[in-house]
Amino acid sequence: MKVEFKVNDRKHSIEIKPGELLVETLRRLGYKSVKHACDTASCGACSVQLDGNPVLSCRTFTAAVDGHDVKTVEGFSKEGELSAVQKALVDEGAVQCGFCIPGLVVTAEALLKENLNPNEEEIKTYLNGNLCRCTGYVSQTHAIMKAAEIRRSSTSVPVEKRGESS
Amino acid sequence: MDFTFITPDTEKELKAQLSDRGSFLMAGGTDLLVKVRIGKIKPRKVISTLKVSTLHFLEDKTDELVIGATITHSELMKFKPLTRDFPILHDAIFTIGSAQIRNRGTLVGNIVNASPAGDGLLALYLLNAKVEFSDGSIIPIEEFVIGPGQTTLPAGEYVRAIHIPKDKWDIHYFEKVGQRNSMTISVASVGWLIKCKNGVMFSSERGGRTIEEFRIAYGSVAPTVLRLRDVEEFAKGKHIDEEFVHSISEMVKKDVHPIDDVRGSAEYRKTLCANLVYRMIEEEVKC
Ligand SMILES: Cc1cc2nc3c(=O)[nH]c(=O)nc-3n(C[C@H](O)[C@H](O)[C@H](O)COP(=O)(O)OP(=O)(O)OC[C@H]3O[C@@H](n4cnc5c(N)ncnc54)[C@H](O)[C@@H]3O)c2cc1C
Ligand code: FES
Ligand code: FES
Repeated sequence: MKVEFKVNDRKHSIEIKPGELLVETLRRLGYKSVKHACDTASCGACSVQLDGNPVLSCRTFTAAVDGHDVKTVEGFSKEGELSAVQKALVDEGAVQCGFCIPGLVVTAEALLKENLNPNEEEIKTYLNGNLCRCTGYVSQTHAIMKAAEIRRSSTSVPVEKRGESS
Repeated sequence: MDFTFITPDTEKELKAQLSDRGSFLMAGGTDLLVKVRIGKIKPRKVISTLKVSTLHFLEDKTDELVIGATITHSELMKFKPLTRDFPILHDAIFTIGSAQIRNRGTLVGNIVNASPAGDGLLALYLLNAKVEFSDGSIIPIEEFVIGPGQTTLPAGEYVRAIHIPKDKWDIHYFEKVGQRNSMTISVASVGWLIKCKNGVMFSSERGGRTIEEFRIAYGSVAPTVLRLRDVEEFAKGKHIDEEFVHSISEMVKKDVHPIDDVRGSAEYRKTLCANLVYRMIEEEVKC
């Protein structure tokens, strides 16, 4: 069957099998940041945003995303430059093997969209589906708080001013 | 896995598609996809409900809340009247899986899945919710679920919506005991709703307030979620004190019939269920 959907704002029109998983399709299309890890909906390494909300691509049929927007971690770094969340993760030493990071970033980005001032508890709750076997989560939690802070200070510029400078 | 994937836009089309044998409905797919992938079910046709616009609605009426078949847990949690009128349902679905699962999974999927561990299901049992079928009939949730994965949904029909009658409760409580905090199926879960005569009081106060109405349900301890009617009846007119909780704890032990499985022994689960009611003493609000 044929489906059409966007990945990081780029349109793809492809032939798929009805039982194909979104993680399989995305990797076939070259979005290798999306990890096919546990395949039991337990680890979150396959997380992507679907219309802005994080979902598990190992628990989503590609057929069901026909006409929708998918965003992977590649969509958050502009022209090779890391996003605030990615930078903070690196700075805080929150990346070891790195396997969990793409899924973590897309989920954290969704959290920050809903709540730009999350406390530790809120971060832990929101990210409880993103397992990391290396870091112990402390550095990752701090990194997300730091990224939130950076984003708060950059968005607190009055609206008129932002309009002027652009 | 040789099946066709269909996404009807209208309920009429949906109904027509359902009449074929080997057709399976799918909403978020968080349950169904697993069964298809491991070969437990071999569909000839998977019909997604997600593009049927008339199934995607939330209706806050004066006497009830109506939840359409494709409303996800996340959408429901963001709906203000839910926290205001049905905090027990909010608390229960908040414990489902993770943000990723709640963004896809639906409440209707949760009830049709008919798991004795279904968290949304437990809250709906407490709230005396009703299930609306595509043929227009509406039946109580307890008549809808008849066993693990088994419902009374007639062949060729689908669930349109869930109706929850509005009612004021003074105390609500939900707790799920699992091996890990998230993502695991519970070892046992419990919820209760309490209406007090003349309002609530706080632990420090003394007063003549008593229980007017009491509802209690357990999950993962029987083939379906279980309402304990004997406890509910016994509670009327009582105060929430040590003696009361001790008595109902004994009743709970007799009422629940958990099984031994990888998540815990039957004996452990029985004791756990009996002990969970002591939370009523720990909570600050009482009657
Ligand atoms: C990692 C993980 C963690 C989970 N944690 C929990 C948890 O903590 N608590 C919990 O209760 N559940 C949990 N679940 C189970 C599941 O996510 C929920 O039951 C969810 O609500 C199912 O909704 P869905 O829309 O994805 O259902 P689907 O998989 O789409 O459907 C489930 C069933 O309902 C049927 N169906 C769907 N729509 C209709 C309709 N309109 N009419 C008739 N039949 C229909 C399908 O045919 C299927 O049999 C978890 C699942 C996963 C993968
Ligand atoms: S691969 Fe999807 S959750 Fe682990
Ligand atoms: S950094 Fe290795 S799993 Fe998270």
